[in-house]
Amino acid sequence: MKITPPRSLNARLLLAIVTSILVALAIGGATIHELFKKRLLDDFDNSLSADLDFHILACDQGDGIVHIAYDTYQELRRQRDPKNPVFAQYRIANGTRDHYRSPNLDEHDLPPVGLGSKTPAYENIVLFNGRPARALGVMFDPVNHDDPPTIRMHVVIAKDLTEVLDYLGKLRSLMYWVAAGLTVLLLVSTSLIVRKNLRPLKLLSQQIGATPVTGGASHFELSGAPAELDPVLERLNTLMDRVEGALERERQFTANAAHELRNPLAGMRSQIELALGSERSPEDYRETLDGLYDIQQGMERVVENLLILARLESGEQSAQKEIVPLTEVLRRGWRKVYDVAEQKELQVRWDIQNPMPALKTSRNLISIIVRNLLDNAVDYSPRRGVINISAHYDRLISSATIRVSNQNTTLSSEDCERMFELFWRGHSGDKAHRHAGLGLGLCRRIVHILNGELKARLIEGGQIVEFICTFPCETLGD
Amino acid sequence: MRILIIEDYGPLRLSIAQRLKEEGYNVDDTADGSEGLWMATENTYSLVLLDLNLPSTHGLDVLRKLREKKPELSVLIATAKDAIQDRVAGLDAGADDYLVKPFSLDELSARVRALVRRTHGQHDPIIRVGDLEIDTRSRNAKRGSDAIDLTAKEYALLELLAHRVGEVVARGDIWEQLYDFNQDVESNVVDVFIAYLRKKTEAGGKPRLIHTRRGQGYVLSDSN
Repeated sequence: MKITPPRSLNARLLLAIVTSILVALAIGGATIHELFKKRLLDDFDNSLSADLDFHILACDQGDGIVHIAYDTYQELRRQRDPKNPVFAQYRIANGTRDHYRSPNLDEHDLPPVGLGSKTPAYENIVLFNGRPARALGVMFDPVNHDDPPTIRMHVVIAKDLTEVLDYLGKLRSLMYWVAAGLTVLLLVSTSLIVRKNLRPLKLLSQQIGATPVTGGASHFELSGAPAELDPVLERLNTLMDRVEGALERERQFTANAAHELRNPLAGMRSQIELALGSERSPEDYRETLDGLYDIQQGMERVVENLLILARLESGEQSAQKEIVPLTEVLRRGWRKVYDVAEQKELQVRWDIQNPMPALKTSRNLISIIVRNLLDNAVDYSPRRGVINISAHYDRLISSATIRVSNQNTTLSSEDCERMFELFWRGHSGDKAHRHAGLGLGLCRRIVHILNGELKARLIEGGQIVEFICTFPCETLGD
Repeated sequence: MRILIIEDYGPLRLSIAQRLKEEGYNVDDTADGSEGLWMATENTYSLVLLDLNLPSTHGLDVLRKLREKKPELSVLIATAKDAIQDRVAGLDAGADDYLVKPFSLDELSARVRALVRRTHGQHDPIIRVGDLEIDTRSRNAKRGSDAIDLTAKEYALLELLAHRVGEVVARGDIWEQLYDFNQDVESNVVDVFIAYLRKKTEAGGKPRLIHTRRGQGYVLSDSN
């Protein structure tokens, strides 16, 4: 059966502490008990041994007869002491024949402990009255007045162990009570300490619960909290800063996105209202419809870019590798902007490595980059301008480079970095309505996914702006 | 009445300009904030319609600089920024009104009329000069019970004179308010339009309201 630990930290701490205390008390108590027991039994055995010596010395033999003479009255009294009686039994003929037994044994025998042994032997026994006792027996030769000695004797003495065992029992009980008292005391004190020290966590959870997720810099403070909570608090506040930053970026992004959609919506509404406001010629209506179509195209591009950005942020848009014929991707990209380029009488110069190896990279992501770079170049080129498109693959570093350049009319060198910010629209005047400032920022995010780099620079004294997109990839032959 | 539109979104700018032109306003427009600031500073406008999110110079910067140079000029902000703090920032920077995109051209037109009236200290939408009534809401005029059929340009000229009733309005001022940079017009076009207006307002032998001040200009007044 699997034991599930309690979920409460308080309960876990209490359980751990109580378990530790109980184990410590059990081991400590058992050790103390055993030490006491050993000491008591040693003392008891020493006393028994002294008694045995006394009983041996009380014997002598002469004329083939063994005499037992207790020289003190106290010994006899001690034998008969009902509280701590000493039982003794002598056997002669190598212990086979009973010679003497202390009167307190009545007619009962003591077990022949140490019979046949010259060294004293101890044994726990049960007396005839059912009480536990400790017995010591040995074979000995009584002091001899004859020559040669003739009689060997066996003596066994026993003492009631009840008092010692009672004492040990009381000691055990006392230790149990002390352990129980200590456990309760420690439980209460530990519980109070744990509760007191967990209180900051409760306060922290209340603060977290009361913190709105809608924004506003929130920092948590816990006065009097244990030092162990400081790193938690620090990390939590750092996390809150990051969350706040992310929320602010999201708010800004949403506001910018809404702004970029409101402009075309306002444009559509005003054109429709204008057309409906009074009777117009068929040419006017056609012009209005053309205008609306342009606005719709712009909106479609904004929405498409926003969706790609959202997928990139959520990690849905991944760089799935496939065979990408880069030349074809570039040609297809150009085909999409061909009409506008022709209207503006733009000249395009191609410089594609021949043969260009098929790349192993994401066709979808590369297509988005190419489309945005070409779209930008065509839209921001002056009439009859020149656009250069080049693509090369460097086998030494397994890296592909796409360059797109066009004549620059408005950009400064500072703009070359700023233009990758989302919704940055530069100084492009009324051409800006075709661009929401999403494309280049989107391209840079995509290139980062491909572990590459996208940058812009002004060349030829600022007359030309060049976009350089480099990304590592293998080729079909690799 | 001459109006400047500073709006970077081409389709919207052109629609607004066309609507205002159809209502008889003289409209200039630009997509660039810096250029708009220059135009507003160098010319005389009754109203500037200003977007906030502009390339090169932000609309609020344009507004602040404009307020330093022309504190009396009416400015209507028309923007997609709808947050309370954006509205507060715009009005605090000196805008006279704030309109959030997308908006109705009718509403824009009404706000433009209101601001133009306010610019000339006129709170009543109907301007009365003797028995001449000019309704700035419907852009109609009548003398007594007789409606006057006016073209957009003629109405704009009449309203311009009516806003400054009793004051002499110089020919140059009239020309500047009625024609934009892109229109090629004859030098006597003001006199021609004044003649048209007089003919229509004095139809049926009604007394003259538009008087000539030789060497100065024209004045609309019910007394000589």
